[in-house]
Amino acid sequence: MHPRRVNHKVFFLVGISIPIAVLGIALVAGSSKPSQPVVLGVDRAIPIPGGYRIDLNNASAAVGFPVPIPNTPNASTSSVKAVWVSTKPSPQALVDFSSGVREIIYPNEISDSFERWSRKQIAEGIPGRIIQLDSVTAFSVPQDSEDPGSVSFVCQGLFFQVIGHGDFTSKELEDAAASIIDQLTATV
Amino acid sequence: MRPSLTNLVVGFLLGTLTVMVVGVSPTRAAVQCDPNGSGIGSQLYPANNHFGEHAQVMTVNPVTSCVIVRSMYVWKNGDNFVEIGWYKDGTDQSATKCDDVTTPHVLVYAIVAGHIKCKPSSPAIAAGSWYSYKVENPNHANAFDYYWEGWWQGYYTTSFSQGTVDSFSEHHLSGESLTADFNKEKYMGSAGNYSAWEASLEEDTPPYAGYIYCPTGTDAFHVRTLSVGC
Repeated sequence: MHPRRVNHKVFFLVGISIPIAVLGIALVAGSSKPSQPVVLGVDRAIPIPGGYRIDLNNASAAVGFPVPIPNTPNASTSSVKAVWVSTKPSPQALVDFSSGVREIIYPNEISDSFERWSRKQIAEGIPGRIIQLDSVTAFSVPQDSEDPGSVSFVCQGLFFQVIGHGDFTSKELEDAAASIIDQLTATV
Repeated sequence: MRPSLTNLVVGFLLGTLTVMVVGVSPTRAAVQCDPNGSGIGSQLYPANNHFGEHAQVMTVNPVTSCVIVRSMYVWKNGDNFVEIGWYKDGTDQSATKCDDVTTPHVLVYAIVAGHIKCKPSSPAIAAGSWYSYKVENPNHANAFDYYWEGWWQGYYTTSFSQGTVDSFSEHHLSGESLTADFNKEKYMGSAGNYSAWEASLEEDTPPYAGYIYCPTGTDAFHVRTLSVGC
């Protein structure tokens, strides 16, 4: 094979390969990027059915149970963004904080022991762990690209969820949950 | 210019042209699917003490770029609900948290504390057919059972036993199909019996531009394009 002809081909191939390689790298990089989670439900403007917004000071009286607010850097009275309640016939309260933390409270509807309920969640694929927060059993689920992360527990007949609609570590969500428990147990 | 350098430049220009052509091709265009979805439907409002829901839902198979869903819920709040119906992925939507299916399949779905549960390998269903769906918790426990055409599809353990029933036509790209037909909608009361929704059908929240909600009786509704109308 004539060396000069080889040179022509090599240079031509190198030239044509550069932009194609750039495209290929871009496509591969794009495909390896974590997909945006797609939730097969609708993020409704009203986060609880039949709910309405209310001032924090009036929330407890509206639902008939305490609405304790954590006191942590990510969730506190000063960072309450919105309070929602529904009252009939099954009351519920939902508090959104400006950080993205969400607190949900309603009368406990779990018929199992909380630990057994937690083990069922694990068996159904939720990568959570059972922890103790001030002697209260809680179920902590770490945040990942497909999960907002949460801490659930039952205290004084009420079911609580602290959900991380933002970027939070498990400890941050657990601290918020522990702060709620502190307030509940302090008032007993 | 040396011949080898000329070839390098010609090759580069040809490659760039190829990338430009491929890059602007409609089949490669990026589609921005809305992760949350939107749509139109009915909700039995404001009661929130329902233990199950039943309906017949028409299966359609429109061309879509993003996932579409025709389903019904028992929902406690936006982070805790159960859902059954049918769904299909779009041509440019590979991640749904469930299966990548490009034809209608039964949707068996729940969210617990924001965590998604979805049954993979659910039955494929035929476009143009009515099927019955049911999700219920007759024992008032925390396990909702899912049924398609009377066939048990499994169960999920939830953090609630009762909620508000809702039927919904959902898309994840504005302008894509919301055409839907729901019939024989019933909710399960505390005694475990099913009742028709009566006159409580209501539209859900926008956006659903280009579509209209059409109640067709006490327990049924259609969703049609504005040009077709009710």
